[in-house]
Amino acid sequence: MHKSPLVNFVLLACIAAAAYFFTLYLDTRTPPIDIIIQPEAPIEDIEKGQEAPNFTFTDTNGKTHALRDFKGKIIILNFWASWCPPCIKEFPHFITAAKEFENDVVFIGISSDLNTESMNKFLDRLGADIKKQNILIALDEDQNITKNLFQTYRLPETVLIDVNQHMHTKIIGADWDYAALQKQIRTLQKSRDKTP
Amino acid sequence: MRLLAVLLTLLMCFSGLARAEETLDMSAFKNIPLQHQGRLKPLDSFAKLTLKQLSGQTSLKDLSATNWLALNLFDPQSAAQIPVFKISNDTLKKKIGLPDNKTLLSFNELKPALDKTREDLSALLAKDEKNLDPNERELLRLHENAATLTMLMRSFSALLPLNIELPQRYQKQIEGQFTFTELSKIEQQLQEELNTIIATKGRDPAAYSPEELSIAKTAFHIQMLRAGGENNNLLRVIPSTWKDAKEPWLSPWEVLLGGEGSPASAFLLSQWADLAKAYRDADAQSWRIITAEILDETQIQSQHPLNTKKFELERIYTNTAPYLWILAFYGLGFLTAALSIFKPDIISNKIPAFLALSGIMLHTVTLGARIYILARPPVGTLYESVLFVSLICVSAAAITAIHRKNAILLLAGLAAGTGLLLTAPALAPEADSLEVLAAVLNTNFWLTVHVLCITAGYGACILGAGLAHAALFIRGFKNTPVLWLKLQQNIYHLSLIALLLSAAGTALGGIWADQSWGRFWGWDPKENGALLIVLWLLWTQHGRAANKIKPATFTALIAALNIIVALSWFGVNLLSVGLHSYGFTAGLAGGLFAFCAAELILITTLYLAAKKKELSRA
Repeated sequence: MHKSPLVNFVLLACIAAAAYFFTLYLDTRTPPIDIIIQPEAPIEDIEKGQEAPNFTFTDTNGKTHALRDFKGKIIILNFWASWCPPCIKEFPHFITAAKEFENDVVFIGISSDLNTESMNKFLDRLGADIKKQNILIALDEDQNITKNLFQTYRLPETVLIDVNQHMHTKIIGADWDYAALQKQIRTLQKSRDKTP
Repeated sequence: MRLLAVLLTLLMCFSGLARAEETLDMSAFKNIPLQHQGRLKPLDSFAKLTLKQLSGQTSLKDLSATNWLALNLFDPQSAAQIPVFKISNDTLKKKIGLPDNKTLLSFNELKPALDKTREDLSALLAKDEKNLDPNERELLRLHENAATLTMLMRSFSALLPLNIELPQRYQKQIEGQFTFTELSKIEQQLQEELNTIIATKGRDPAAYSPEELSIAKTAFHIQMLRAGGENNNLLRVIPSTWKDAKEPWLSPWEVLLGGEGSPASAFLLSQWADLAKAYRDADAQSWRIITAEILDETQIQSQHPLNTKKFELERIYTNTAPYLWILAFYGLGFLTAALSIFKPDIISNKIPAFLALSGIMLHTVTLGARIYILARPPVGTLYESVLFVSLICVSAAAITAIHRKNAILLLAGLAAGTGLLLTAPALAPEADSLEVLAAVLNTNFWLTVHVLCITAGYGACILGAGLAHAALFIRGFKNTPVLWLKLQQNIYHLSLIALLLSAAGTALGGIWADQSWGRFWGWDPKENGALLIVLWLLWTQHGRAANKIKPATFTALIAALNIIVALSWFGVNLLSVGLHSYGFTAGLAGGLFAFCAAELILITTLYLAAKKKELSRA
């Protein structure tokens, strides 16, 4: 049977239209649920960080300590200076944390101040708040700890060290909130409790 | 671009030295890993890629890429004198006052021209890329390349000895040669002193005493060094300590200024500082020991074990340039195949067979190496798809040629393979064809299933089209009706295979799109291009089956598949629209247009000749 070109054309047009509407139908379907809703990221176990290097420092009372002296404690190692405004902003929060978790946390503040006087001038303003056994402040006069050992070139920076002296987290800058710090410390407490 | 100005100031700060590259063993240095363009690779590959980007070549006259890289990293002052910038646009050269008798220019030679044109840059950057004329595009490229070199030369500027005279009171504090890392320890002190000077004497240096001037200069140098390090993320040789292994590695300046420093990074950077010293002292023994130590330490610090065999293979791959060898085998194979068919008394048909098989073996090994290095199927970019399709064409042709005992099949396959490989450099202008995948392609299963199927379909189409060209020629100019009939059968079978692969590949693409983008079909240019091939093949097959399309016309239409495939494969990329934008490559339009026009003329000529012969026979 011989069909005219017009019939062929109409047939082709019908097929094209059907294909077009089929794709429109496909587009109107509700996408699979996993495309819309991103699954919540799983809470990861704490990975064992690198071991913190041991170093010694002399605190504001003239007593010399080594980092290894505090094995078994959670350490907040803060690099700061009194000429650094963000450092001044975050410093009291660390003192609060040290007081809140007095039995578990040691705060070590390594200062890059130019001299003891400038550092003490700021510390005096904090008064009795820093006169705690678990709060230790030291001047890093030659900046060996700050720059050579921990490579801190922009203040403030803070390293959370777990009870086994592994570096767990680094906090860069002062743009963090206290609740987040509490959460981190509690996580480290839990990991300590799990440690055989 | 302000950073370019900073660089010259910085270059003046660094101590110069004699060239050391000839005495130093670069074998371990070449293999030090870094993260670049989203994947880990050896320094050697990075050096070649960067040099090729700047100069269009992978080595300089008296300097290998790795030596050139080391010079930039450890002796930027000397590196600034090495001619490395290629400017192919003579009009631009004249316009910006560059000498037109030199192929390559050094950073120092280029600097005045860059300064002169810096003001035009913001206007050029604001323009749509499509509206840039060739001069403007070249000028932008030149500034981008200068920025790349600047970053490279500044990569280790924190660790290199500085040629700065310190204020007297600090000379005891910092003795001997010193770097930014040492200088930064007195930064705050200098800044406070400078503030006091400015408060008492103002900002005019003429009013300062020599000691005050020295303080101001030193403080300025520190600021310049810091400014030069900001956003310098090119040389990522330090594994991140604080993030997981999937996070990008860090450049030295990112570690120092981005708060990413750690005892581990301090140790690794101290090793790099020692290496810089060994280079500058031309101390071959220390250089050899420290490069090996850096290699070990980087492996320790990277959170997942590094595959050094992969690096070695990549180095061999980039050094041997297998692409050129494959092209040579196929090209020679094509020439000898043509001679053996049309002048069998001159050359045996075993020679093209040997050349084709050698090419196929090397081609297979090359693609295997790429799969191993990149850990993914070898079809993630246009360049790669050309490599893959050319292998499909030649190997399918070789197998059918042996099976059917028909040398013309091999000739067609070698012609298609050679032609495709000749287009490859235009698709990978920046040398490193070992690219990471565009995010949209990053699922190995679908990449394997869909893209391999589609590209294998391209291969079958091109081989069929090549054979159709040969068949039309034979029909028009040779009196061999039996061969014509045999070729008809071969073309028909190839077009069926092409239809199967193209249709299946297109449907699989729809399923992938449904999973990735939430729709099966979106009339995207690439999707339409794939559909066009399927429709073309369906039309010709149905026309042939219904006897509406005669053999010569069918053959001409299959020959024209080359045009359809070229438009679908490359042409849709020129539209710069759609979700398949990962494949876009600039500068294809002219070549594609020329190819389509040439094919149209050739096929029409061959078709008319074939028809004329048929009429004369009738």
